[in-house]
Amino acid sequence: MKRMNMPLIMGTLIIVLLLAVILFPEAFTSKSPYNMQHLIFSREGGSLEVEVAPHPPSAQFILGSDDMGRDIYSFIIYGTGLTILLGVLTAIGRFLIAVPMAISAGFGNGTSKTTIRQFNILFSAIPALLISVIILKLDYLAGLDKRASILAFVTVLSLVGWPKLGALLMERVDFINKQPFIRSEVAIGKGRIKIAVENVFPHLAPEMVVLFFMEIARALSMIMQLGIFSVFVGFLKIIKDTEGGVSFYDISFEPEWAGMLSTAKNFLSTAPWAVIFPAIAFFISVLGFNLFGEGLRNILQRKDSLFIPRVRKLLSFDIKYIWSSFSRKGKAFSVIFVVSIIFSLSFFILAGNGKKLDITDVSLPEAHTAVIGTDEAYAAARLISTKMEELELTPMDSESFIHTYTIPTVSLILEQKFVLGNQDKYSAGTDYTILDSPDGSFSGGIYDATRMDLFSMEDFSMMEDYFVMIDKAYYNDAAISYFMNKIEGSVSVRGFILVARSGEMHPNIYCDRIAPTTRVMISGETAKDIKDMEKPEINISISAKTLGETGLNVIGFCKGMDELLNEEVIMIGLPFNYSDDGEKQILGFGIRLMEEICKKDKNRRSLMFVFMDGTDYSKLSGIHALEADYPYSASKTKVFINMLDLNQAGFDNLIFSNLQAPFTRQYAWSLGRQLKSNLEQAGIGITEAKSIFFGDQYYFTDDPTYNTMFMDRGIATIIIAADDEGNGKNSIEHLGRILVDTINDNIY
Amino acid sequence: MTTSTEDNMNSLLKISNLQVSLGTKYKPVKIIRGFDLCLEKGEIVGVLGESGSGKTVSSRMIAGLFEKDESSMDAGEILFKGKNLTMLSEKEMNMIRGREIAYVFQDPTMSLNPYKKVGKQLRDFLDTHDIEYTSESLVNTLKEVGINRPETVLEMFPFQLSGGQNQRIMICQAILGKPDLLIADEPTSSIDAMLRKKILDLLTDINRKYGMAIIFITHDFDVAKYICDKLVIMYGGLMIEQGPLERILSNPMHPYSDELIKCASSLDSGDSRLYSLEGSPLVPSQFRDECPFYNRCAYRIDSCLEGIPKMVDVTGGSTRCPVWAERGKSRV
Repeated sequence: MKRMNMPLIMGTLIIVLLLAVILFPEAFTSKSPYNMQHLIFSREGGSLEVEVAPHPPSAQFILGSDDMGRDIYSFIIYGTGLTILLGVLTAIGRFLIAVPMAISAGFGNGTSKTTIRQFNILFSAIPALLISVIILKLDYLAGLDKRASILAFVTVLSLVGWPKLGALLMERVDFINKQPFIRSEVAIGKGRIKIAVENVFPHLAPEMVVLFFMEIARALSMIMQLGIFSVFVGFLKIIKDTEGGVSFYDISFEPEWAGMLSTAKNFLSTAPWAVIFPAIAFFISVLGFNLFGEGLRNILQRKDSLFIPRVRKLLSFDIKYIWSSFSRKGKAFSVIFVVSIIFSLSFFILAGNGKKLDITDVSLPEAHTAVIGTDEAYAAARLISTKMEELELTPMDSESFIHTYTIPTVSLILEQKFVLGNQDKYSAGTDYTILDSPDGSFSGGIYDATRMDLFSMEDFSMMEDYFVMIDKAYYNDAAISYFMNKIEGSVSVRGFILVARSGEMHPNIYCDRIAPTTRVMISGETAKDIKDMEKPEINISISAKTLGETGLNVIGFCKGMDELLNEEVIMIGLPFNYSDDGEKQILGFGIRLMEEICKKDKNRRSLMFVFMDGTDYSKLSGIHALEADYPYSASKTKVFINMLDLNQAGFDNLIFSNLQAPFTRQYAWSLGRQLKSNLEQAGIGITEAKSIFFGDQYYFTDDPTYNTMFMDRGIATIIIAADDEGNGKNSIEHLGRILVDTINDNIY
Repeated sequence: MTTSTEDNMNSLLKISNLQVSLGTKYKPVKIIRGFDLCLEKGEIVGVLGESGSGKTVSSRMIAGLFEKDESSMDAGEILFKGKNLTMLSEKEMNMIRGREIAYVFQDPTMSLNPYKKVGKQLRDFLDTHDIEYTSESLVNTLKEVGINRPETVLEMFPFQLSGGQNQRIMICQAILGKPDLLIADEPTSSIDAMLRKKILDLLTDINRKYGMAIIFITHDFDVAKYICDKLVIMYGGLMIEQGPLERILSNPMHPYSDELIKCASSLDSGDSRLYSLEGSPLVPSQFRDECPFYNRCAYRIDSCLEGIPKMVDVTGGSTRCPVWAERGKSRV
């Protein structure tokens, strides 16, 4: 009776299991490894019990949770792929170095022989583990992204690990070379290279196959040890300010076993399950690969082994012949083999796709402008909602994607002119902004009231027929409007010129048409020009059109695939008004971005796309309406990506800020961090949005709407806006690709 | 000893004063202290000696089978068809090995690649030297060396065949290249006694048919007697006598040759008391500047200790025993 090859059977079982886990992780666990549940609430005897992570094994967490409340079981399941991949790649790396070295050394090349020996001595004297820890702890390596850090990791592990393998193979080559049949090959006049290829290599092959699996096991145990030293792929160091001082966290967001060990080792006494189970996972896979190698050795080293001829046949690429040559068992094995090769290849293919987001094929409305309250804006909103329907998004209220809100009566400035003395050099938005005015042309002298105490004044007769200049810096808005009403009540003035406070000037295409006279805001420089003039004369003309009273927010909801996560929502806010063809591109960009992100059925979380009206004037912005009547649970909205101020198709720098996505909002924090690093890597410069730190929060000062969602609704916000400066070397297409990739890849 | 080029052209192989050391360059051990050989086309020469006498080393030296770092040639030259083999590069040697000089090893089963089918190995060999062949010619050659059912054998692995069959395949491989010289290193020692004669007959046939010269290395006097035209007797890394088989048998000119013949014939004649040589053969570490056979020689005189004796030409060959050479001359 044939003896059972137990090691091979056991090893194969374990490896097939690992392969299955790698290929179909969702079949093994329905939980997301990224889901964090830091606190568990329960009611016991009427009192509320709060349990803080790490949670011990329970029905909810089969193997317990780690200190961040992540489920260890699903983390292990999802971590299998990356961990095993690292092991396999390391083994391949070592072979790539060791095999050529060993063969050339076996054929008497002194340099290779010495290299192998010396490296072996070196790494026996200084533990390879220590060297790897030192190298991989370098700041440079710690900051790499996922793919680069895998590469660095594998390279270092290969470099420190190959000499042992090299020595082993060299011995083997030496041994083969001493076999009598090699001598007889020499005697029939074969060259060395030919002998190496035809004889040494085939004899080495069974040994190599065996060693390969053993090497994977070795690499895995090395990876495990490195994990204990907090060296692992996807390494992230977090410095957190606490009252007790600064504390460091090594946190792995990438599911990977070594990373789990690293974080969990600090909780060994309180949460042993967080260490034991990843360690068992390592143990089983190391054992699996070792047993498989051992079992193969038993088979391959039998003299009548058909392994070598089979490999030859495989290399001949005669598929029909190969297939027929396999036994039924062989067929099954070869299928598994091919599948695993395809799998490992696809990893690399999937890992990189760097195409830009092409917005040229998006059909846009014909109108050249679409501002809030116009028919063109309605057309644009219709276009977006049609698109949403095509993409099978769901509306938030059952009827329509378009949500309306009432806006104050406002007019769109069609034409405006501001002439000081005889100077016509002043431009709207930077030098002056008309706030409120009836239509028409108004001219007259200027009465400088900037140095007067308007509170105590009772007589305004000297202002008669003048434009009155008031410095806003001395009074608050309420006071100013009080003065203006009071002055207009007592004398007839031509209008008011308000000197803007520092940083208050803003471009505006809207104005009010309520006040009886003109109100114009001017910058400090313009004010200086007026003061320098002896007898300042001004002419202001304006024509405007009153806009409709309805603003439109278009909101579409794209449901996530992960049943446990799709309650969590990422909100993406985009503008849809435009006032020229360049800005129209932004609308195209928004639609394209939505298509690109929603068409892939791989979003774990749900996405909410909000195209907002009136974003170019904070008074009219749809964000207020959205905030006031938020259509979803604010606590389940994990992050709001605010691109409402993205008003240029080309830019040098982006205004970016993730200050309102703090560490306490884990998902938003990691997405913001990832987005920032991806933008920087793509060479897009970043300007931090201006902010002040007050209490324990950051407030943005550039635009009040930046703060709306975070301050009023408590939704973490990431700001992305275009910076006006520069000549536009980066395009929104570039940004779009990064956004799509980051949101799609963001797995944290 | 110098030889003119014209002489060399006549003989197929001429080795003169070969001296070889083995081992690393720091600790060389001298194995061959003096070996001369002159071989004509179609001759079968037997190299006879005990183990350790240097017969295998000298024959491997001819085919250049040592790695560069494991052997060094201290003196002498090997002229094959006028070319000095020791001066050739590895590439040039590869052209000669197998094609012009074939080698048959002692252990046939070990000398064939265990992972290659017989047919594949033979075809590989032919491809290496770009020798044209058809499967028919291959089968015919196999038949010629006495392989039954050659088509089946071609599809078999060496370990599925017997030692005798493997040896025939080695010989087949050797003659496929139609070489001028075949070196057979104890080809019969690991083969069943019953098959020995068949292999020897095969070699003789080949020799006749192709006019292939054979260097036949053996420690067995009977085998040498059966097949060889000429004999070279080695002892202690030195050639001690050479000459035609007939002459050495009838009139050995060295005490060692004499003893060898006596030992062999005492077996043949079925004496109740077998003759054996006293003492033990010399090992390389005991090599000294004296007659190697001195310790076991019944005819030794003091002058035998004065350096290694020179080869002395005698009628039908030469000998390294000046004493016997004198006696032989006087006897004539």
